Formats: sequence, structure tokens, C-alpha cells
Amino acid sequence: MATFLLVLCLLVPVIVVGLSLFGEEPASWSHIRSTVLHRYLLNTAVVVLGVGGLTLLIGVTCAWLVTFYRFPGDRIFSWILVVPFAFPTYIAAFAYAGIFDYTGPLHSFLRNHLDLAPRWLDIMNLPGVIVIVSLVLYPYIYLITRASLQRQSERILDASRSLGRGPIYTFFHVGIPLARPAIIGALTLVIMEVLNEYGAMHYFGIDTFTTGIFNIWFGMNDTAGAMRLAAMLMCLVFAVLLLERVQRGRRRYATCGTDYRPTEHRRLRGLAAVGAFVVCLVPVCLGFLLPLGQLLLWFNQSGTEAFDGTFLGLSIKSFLLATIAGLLTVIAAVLIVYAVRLHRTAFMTAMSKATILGYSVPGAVIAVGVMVTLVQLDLSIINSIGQVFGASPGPLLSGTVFALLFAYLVRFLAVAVNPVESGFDRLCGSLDEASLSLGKSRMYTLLRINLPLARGTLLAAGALVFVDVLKELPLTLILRPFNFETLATKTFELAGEEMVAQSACGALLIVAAGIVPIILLERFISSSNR
Amino acid sequence: MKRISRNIAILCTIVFGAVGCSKQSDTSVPDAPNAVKAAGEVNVYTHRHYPADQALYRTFTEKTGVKVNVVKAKADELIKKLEIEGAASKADVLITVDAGRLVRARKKNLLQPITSSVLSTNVPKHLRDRNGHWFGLTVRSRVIVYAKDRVKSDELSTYTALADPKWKGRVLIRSSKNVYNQSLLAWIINRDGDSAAESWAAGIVGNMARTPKGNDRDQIKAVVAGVGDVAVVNTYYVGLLLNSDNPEERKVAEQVDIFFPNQADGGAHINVSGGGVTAAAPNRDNAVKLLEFLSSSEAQQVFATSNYEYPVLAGAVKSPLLESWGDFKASTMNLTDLGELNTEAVKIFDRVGWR
Repeated sequence: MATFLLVLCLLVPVIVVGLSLFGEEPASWSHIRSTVLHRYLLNTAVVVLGVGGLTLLIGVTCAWLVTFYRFPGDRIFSWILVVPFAFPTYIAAFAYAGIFDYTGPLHSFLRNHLDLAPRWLDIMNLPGVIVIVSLVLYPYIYLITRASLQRQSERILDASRSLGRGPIYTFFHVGIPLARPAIIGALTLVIMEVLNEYGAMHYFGIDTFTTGIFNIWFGMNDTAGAMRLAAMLMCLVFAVLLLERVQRGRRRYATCGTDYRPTEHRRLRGLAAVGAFVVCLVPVCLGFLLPLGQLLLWFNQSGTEAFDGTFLGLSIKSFLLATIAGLLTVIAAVLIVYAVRLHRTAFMTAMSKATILGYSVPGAVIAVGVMVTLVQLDLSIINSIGQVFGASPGPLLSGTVFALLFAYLVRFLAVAVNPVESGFDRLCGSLDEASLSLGKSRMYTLLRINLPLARGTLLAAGALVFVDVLKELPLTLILRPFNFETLATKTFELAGEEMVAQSACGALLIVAAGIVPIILLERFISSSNR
Repeated sequence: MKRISRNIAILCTIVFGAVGCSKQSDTSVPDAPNAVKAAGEVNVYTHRHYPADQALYRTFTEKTGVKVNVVKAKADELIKKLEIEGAASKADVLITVDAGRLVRARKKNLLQPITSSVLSTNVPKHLRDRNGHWFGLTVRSRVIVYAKDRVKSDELSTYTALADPKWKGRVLIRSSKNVYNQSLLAWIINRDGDSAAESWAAGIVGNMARTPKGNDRDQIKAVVAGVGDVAVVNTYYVGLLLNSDNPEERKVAEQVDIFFPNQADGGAHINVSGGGVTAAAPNRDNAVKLLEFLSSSEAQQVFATSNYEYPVLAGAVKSPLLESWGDFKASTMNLTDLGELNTEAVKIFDRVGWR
């Protein structure tokens, strides 16, 4: 019941956006449909397919390699493969644009030293954006898939091998199908993040569905139309989520009983070892070292003047905010996933899928939903207090840190629900039943049986939310209290509209602040899984 | 059930504890939100995020004792925020980087009319709302930048002339999602009518050197890289490039020149960054004081020297760079009209396939 109320609370902003579907057809809609919609849809489909495919390829391959094989640097790769995630997508996009810029290091070198001016050497196009976005988003897939692979029983893989199947066959027919819920969950996050990405697409001149939402809102001054378009996007995502659930059917992926044995590492030698090394090195270089190098270059050119000593305070505040948001989000996700596990009704499943829709639309749209919710709540509180005491206290919730935390919860629930769900899917149901039949309460069973077993995925979920909150921009910009700055807003301020170089300092701090907890948690997750 | 409610209680404690913590850690906001109405404050919603603005707010506080509280976000988002907050809004001033957005806010009844002799003296008539709902604070002109080695200045004349087939494959201009381009097209619609504006936009699309991408600076760089020969950009981006920390960017700026279009034909298109007092302003008097200060010669000089924008105040000292570009004839079309035509401009852009 309490969980039901929680879900309902979190759903209100999503419902606010969803309700716009039932309004009148906005004036700008027929214009959009007849002129630009087909291009928006085509570009969106290409980007989603491209990024989805590329992140799967990188994420799953690397997760498989570091989980099951020993090769030079595998220990380092196991955590360093996660760090590109610390890059906000728009900052990675700006950094890459900077590298390939006419006045950037690459073209300057070619022009000044080799007298070359290859104009085709450009990254600001559709393939470019797909590669860049994939490079910073694959860690979702890598992290969640690896957490799932590490819990696979060696015996199952042994069975495949002893039946004469090679490593490739085992990979595709045993390992991957067993990790399917985790991989699909991670892929869902990647796709939703691609759908809501605005900064990078806008700068690169790629028109997607989200560009369309802002075109209607900012360009045509039609917020209702923008909300309606966002609502359609949510419906589409919702349909796909339910379809996946239906298609998965009644299959279960839990490991029960006593046949569990931790995975063993096989040592690779010769060419195979070199191959594995290179496969893992490429995403780290392209997703992390290269954009980091560009930021350092900018920092060296102009950064120090922006570093005015307030960054330490900002870092602490951003850390605190992200930690609290991460904690709250994981708690909410556990309550929701556990409720679904206990009841397993179609209604609860649908509700749980609906709560993660806040991640599929642009942050600014969800911000509107949150603002409407909180202002209405404020008004009713103000009115009732006014009636009792005859004086109005003014807005209590909107424009406070509470509003911000609530918005993060609505926004990033998907990031926590997906890994938590896949973690719970792998827990044996008979343990629950045993605990319940011994007269223990549901809460006891959750806290003492399920949570300790799903510890790794819970931490992964918390880390993902933490880093996402640290990078978050549109919600924070709109909903923050007066004079409230985080690392991301400060960076954005320095970046202005055109001065990316000057913001390198803030960008570096966001990346650094994201890396530390990623590495710490990464180590913790690995050790708790061994 | 009891356990569940206890967990909810813990959750609530964490949430409200967090709210408390963050407040304490944020020393710049010592007041509880409901105490904001107290005297000596002004709350600003602004789209401008330049360090110079922060410095100006500090000067204002030193001079008047009025504390300036700021939320920075995109103008359209701030307008939506004002709309949702309604009468309960704590904001006093809305500042945007484009007159069209101020017109929007006024049409949604989010701004109130102000009569201030200081503002009506300092801000020329065509750069402010007819009823005092908003006032321009800085001027930016959208100009043509050309490659010195490939284009002679006498080849250039008006914006309209850039649609001539002579410029096929040579014109660089950013995306139509950009508000500066939307205002330029609105300006042309207002001058020449819908169909002329649509054929101009179609002509420019036909002459584009590449599909629009990047910002104004990227267009200037593309001119130097030889992708095209002319670019349409706002003046201050040339200033920013000329004073860049990156020597390669300074080199780029030195290879181009600025041309102010339409000098014999009504003057170049300009837009303003400006502000107005919100309808629900709890600190109305301080809001007026802040706008008056921002239009004063002291503040205007800061705008003109730190960000290469043109001051609205006649006679304010300009930076040496602005002086070197010389005086130019600016269009005196009332900017209110541009705001009204923004939506039409966006539709034309979509119809002619201007990305």
C-alpha cells in the first residue's frame, strides 16, 4: 500500500505530461507533421539503432572479456572501462568538436606543420554523434552486464563446454541469454538517454524527436504542443517496455540451489591476449583519454582564471546532493521492484514500468511536470493554512532543494529500477518463500535475504544515479533555488553559449568527481561478487 | 505495515534532513524561502550567464544595499516557470537575450508596465516596449563576416542580396533553431512581407555552403577554412575570437572582416538583450532600481567593454574594438514587432528546409 502511494507520487509529473495527449490538437502540430516530422523520426531511429548497436558491441564484449579471461591489464581494465561514464554527453560532444575544430589541435597541426587541410576530417555529423554518444554511454551496458555475468555459475558454462561447444558458442547461446534481463535493462537506459539528449544533437545540427519538442516549445511558443510530443515519445517507450516484458514471458533467470560456483578466469596467450587488450583499450582511449586531453588543453589555455576557489564548496555540495539523490532513488527502486516481485500482477508491472518513463523525455519537459505538481501542492497547502491561520506562508516546496530532489527521483528512477530489477530477477524465489513460510515478515525477508544477495547491483544502481545527478543540467537549472549552484550549472555558466574552453575547469571537476565514486564502487562491487 | 510506515518515516527524515543540510552548506542563501519578501532583495530570472553580469550585480548591491538573487536558465523555460508559479512567484525581474522572448512574456501577462524617467531617457524608444513592459539593455547586431582574401566589401550590400545565385555554395549560417536567425527572418517578414521572406529563406538555403551546424564562431572558422566565403553572425563573436586564449582562434579572426548590411536600406538588423519587471514581483521597487542601474552609464560601459555588445545608452564609452568597427546605421524597427512574428519565421524555416 505504502509502495503504491510512493509510485503514485512519482507518477504525478509523468501523468501531468501524459495528460497533454488528451488536450486539443496543438496549432503547430499539423505544421510539424507536414514539414519536418519525418526527418526527426528518421534521424531518431538511426541514432537509436546506431548507439544501441555500438554500445551493446562495446559493453558486452568488454564485460565478457574482463569477467572470464586473464590478459595483460585485465584488472585495470575492469574498472577503467567504466570511467567514460563520468563524461556528460554534451561535454564529450563539445570536446570532440574541439579536437576536430578548424582551430583545434588536429587541424592546427596538419595545417601548420604538414601544410594539409583535409576538410572531410570532421566529426559534426550523424555518424560522429553516434560514435561519441556510444563512447560515453557503453559503460551502462558494461557495468550492468558484468555484474550479471559475475554471478553466473561456472557449472552452467562448464556444461556447455563439456558438451564440446567453443567459447564463441557458449558466449552467444549460454552466457548472453542468461544475462538477457540485465543487458536489456541497460540497453533501455542507453536508448532513453539517447532519446532525451538535446545538447549534443543541437550543437551538431542533428534534428531528432527531442529537437522537435524544443522547436515547438521555444521556436513556436507552444508548450502544450511540446508536452504532447513528449507524451507521444513516452507512450512509444512504454509500449516497447511492455512488449519486451511480454516477449520475455514466464522465463526466469534465477540461479537456485547448490550448483553455484564462482566463475573461473581463463588465461589468454599470444595473439588472443593482444586482441583482448586492444579491444578493451580502444573504448578507454576514445571515450576517456582523448576528450580528457582536449579538456586539459583548454584548461591550460584559459582555465586558471575561472578557478576562483569556490569550486571546492561546489564540489562538496554537488557530492552531497548526488549522494542523497542516489540513496533515495535506490530505496524507492527497491520498494517498487520488491512490490512487483511479491504481487506479480499485470497492474503492478505496468505501474513500475510507468515510473521509469521520466527518463525518456528531455529534462526540461519533466521539470515542467514537477513544477506543476509542486506548485499545485503548494497552493493547496497555502490555502488550507490561510484558512486556518488567516496568513499565507508563501511557497513551501517549489524553488527549494526538496523540489530538486523530488525531480531527480522522478527523473532517475529508471536508472535505479533497471539494474535493481535485473538483480532481483536473478535471486531464487524459493528463498523468499522459505523465509515467508518461516513466519518472517516481508520487510524482514527484503532486508535480510534479498538485499544482501542483490548488494552488487544495488551499489551499481546507486553509483549510476550518483553520477547522473552530478552531470544533470536542465532540471537543476530550472528548479534550483535562488543562487544555488552545482558543478554542472557552474560549468554551464562558464561555458555560456559559446565559450566551452573557459568551462574546461568545471568539466574536469565533474569528470573527476564522477570517477572517484565510480572506481570505489567498482572495487566494492567486484569484491562483493567474488 | 508498521514496519513499512517506519521506513517511510526514515525516508522522510532523510529527505528533510537533506534539505536542511543543503541550506546550511549554501551560505549565499541564508533566508528561508518564505522570508524572501523581506526588504532589501531583488530576485532575478535571467538567460544571461556572463561573468560581467555577476560583477554588475555585486556593484549594485554595494551601491544600494539591495541583495541580488539569481536563477539562470533558458528564457523560454523561465517564462514557463513564471507562468506556472503565477501570483506565488518570487521573481522580480526577467532578463533575456532576445526581445522576442520579452514580447512573449508580456503577451502572457507575466510583465508589468513601468514608468521610469531614468529608463525612458537611457533606453531609445525602439529598443523598449511601448508601455514600459520591458527595456533593452544591450544591442547586438547580426552582420556579415567575409574572407578578406576572397571577397571584396563592395560585393556585399544587404541580407537580401545574399540570396542571389552569385553566392551559391558560399554562405555559412547556423541552424534555424537559433533565436538570432529567427529574429532576423522576423525582421525581413516585417519589412518585405511573408512571401518575400520565404523566397529569401529559400534562396539562402540554396546558397548554403553546408548543412547548418555549430554556433556563430564555428561559421566564422568555416569561412577561414574555406568551406564558404561569407557568414552571418552576431558582432560580439568576432570580438570573442579576436581576444581568444587560443592563438589559432585569433589568427582566424584576423583573416575576416565585418560588414554591416543594409546601410543604404534602413540599417542593419539588431536585437537586444533586455529585461522587465514581472507581474507578481514582490520587490517591485528594487526591480525598477536594478533595471535603472543596468541602463546607467556605469553599467553600460561594463557591457560594452567586457562582452563586446553595443550599449543602448547613447554616449556610453565603447571598447576600442567596437570603436574600430566604426559607427553603423542600425534599423529602428520596433523590436516588439519582431517578437510577434517569431512563430511565423520558424514555420517558414521549416517549410524551406532550413535545418
